[in-house]
Amino acid sequence: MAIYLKDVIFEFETHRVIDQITLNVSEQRIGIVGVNGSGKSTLARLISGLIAPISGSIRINDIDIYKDRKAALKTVGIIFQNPDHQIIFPTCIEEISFGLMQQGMTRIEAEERSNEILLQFDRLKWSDQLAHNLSQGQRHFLCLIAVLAMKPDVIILDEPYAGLDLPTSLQLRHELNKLSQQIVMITHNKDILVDFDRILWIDNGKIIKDGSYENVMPDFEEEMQRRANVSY
Amino acid sequence: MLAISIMGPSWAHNLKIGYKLAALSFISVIIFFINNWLLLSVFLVGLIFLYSSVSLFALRKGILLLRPLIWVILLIWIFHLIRGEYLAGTVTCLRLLVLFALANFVTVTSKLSDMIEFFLWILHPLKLIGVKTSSIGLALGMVIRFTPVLIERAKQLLESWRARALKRTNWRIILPIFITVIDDADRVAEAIRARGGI
Amino acid sequence: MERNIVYIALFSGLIAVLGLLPKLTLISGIPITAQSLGVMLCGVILGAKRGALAVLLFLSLVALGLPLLAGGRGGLGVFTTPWAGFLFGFPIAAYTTGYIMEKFKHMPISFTASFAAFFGSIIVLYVIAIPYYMIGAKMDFFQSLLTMSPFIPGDIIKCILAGFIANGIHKSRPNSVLSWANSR
Repeated sequence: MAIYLKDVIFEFETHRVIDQITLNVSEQRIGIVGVNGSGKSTLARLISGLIAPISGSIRINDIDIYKDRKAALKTVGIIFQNPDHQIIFPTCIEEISFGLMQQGMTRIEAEERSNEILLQFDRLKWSDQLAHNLSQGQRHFLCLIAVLAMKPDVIILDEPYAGLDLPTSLQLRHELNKLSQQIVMITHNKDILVDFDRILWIDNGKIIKDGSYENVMPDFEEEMQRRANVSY
Repeated sequence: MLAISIMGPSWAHNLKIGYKLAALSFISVIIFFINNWLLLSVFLVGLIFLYSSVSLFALRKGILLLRPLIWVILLIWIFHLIRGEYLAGTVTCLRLLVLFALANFVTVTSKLSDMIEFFLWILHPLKLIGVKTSSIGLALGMVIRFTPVLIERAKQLLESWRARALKRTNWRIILPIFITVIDDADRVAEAIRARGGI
Repeated sequence: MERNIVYIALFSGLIAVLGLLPKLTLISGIPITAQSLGVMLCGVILGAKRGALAVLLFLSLVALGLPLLAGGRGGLGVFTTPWAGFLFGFPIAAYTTGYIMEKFKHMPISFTASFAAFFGSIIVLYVIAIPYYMIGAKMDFFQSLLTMSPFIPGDIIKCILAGFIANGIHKSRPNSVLSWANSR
């Protein structure tokens, strides 16, 4: 399972957000760190096929995920930061079924599969409930389930732990650890990153450090402190 | 939010908005009753000079604003031609062009903040019949402040859809857009109440 | 009180947002802009007075020079066109739609909303917009109707959509359907 970027450039209104990134990523757990505006979220959207680079190429498992959306839906899924800004349907089962129907299932097949995966996560009682009635952490989890139901090879998460309380964070972490998919996560949560296989530090659209936790994070921390003008 | 007006300064920008609007109303009424295609053409040429007197950029902007109108005008013109009403058709279309471009001239050369100020001023008499004009001002400010936020919300939902979909969004995306806005509305109302209410 | 004003303001913004959505392609391939659906829903959800105020607020902003009409249009010029009858009719359409919503609370909401949208935002709206167009474009009734006919199927579908969406909102946020709320 490989995510492959070659000379990727992305611009937004003459501002170069991603500046010639070339990557070959096949590790299981990849972290992306960087300050706001560094290009992290744009990189996440590029890798999930939501936007196309203006030059260069991006492929996952040799699939052009921007052009071949059918294959892309089986290959990569993305979960954004705020569940309230990404849940589309009133009830949980509708939310999960949506992606499945887009993948070609009939409504009945999709609802069956939705209930199956809810059962797998011991949350079958969510099925007919309004997403609104779940807690914020539970809604976040619903988004994860909706993506997992589609069985992608790669899952991208944009700051999944932001705004979650401690028990919910621990629960989410527990569930993510169990996943066999390749996970790419934007986060600055050190406790999570320490277990990751590879960390990419992006700044001003370029990868300025790429390696293991020990290689990247100390320098990253130092730079963050320098920018904040504080010292410990 | 980006308004249509262009940046000054210019003689037109310096005119008080009340005068501009009064002149606009007055001239518009006159033009409405003109049936002479030659005279209307003169007005049209006059408008080109009017825009140019501000700047060439203003003229460009004026022409750009005309674009969606062209289809309407063409359609009307063709309808009249089919009926053999060559003169009536041409006069109607010219008149529409002139009125449209004239009205837009005021918009293009007036700052949004000035327009808002004038708008609130003109609503003052409503106070006499019990309308709370302060609420109108607040509501106005809120829409301007929040519309970009709402657009951002809509974009996020569209993205969430596209991340799991083959086909483009259909009407179903409208429901979550409304729900998110309703939730935002409840939160903003709470925030206002927490700071003393209206 | 705060809730009323905030809802009016934000729904006003919604009309603008709906104008920015890409044209929704329906099953039959007819492209429709969602903006007039926004006007319908202002009446359906906010009720008569609030719905009309939201639309008036929206029109005020367009008049003040903000490009909030579908296609990025705005400014005083749009109010001089023969189509401006629709603009002037929108608040009245929203009011009528909202009025019908408020009066028929005992029926299933999707039905009431669709009917209210149809009567208020199509019948009443076109009753205002067609004569206005006739005067402005100097065309007779049938010519005017012909010009508008491509949009009528789309508008009818929007009424049905308004019903579905109203039902969805009522299911998810019943307290926010102000037209059906008991308190002021």
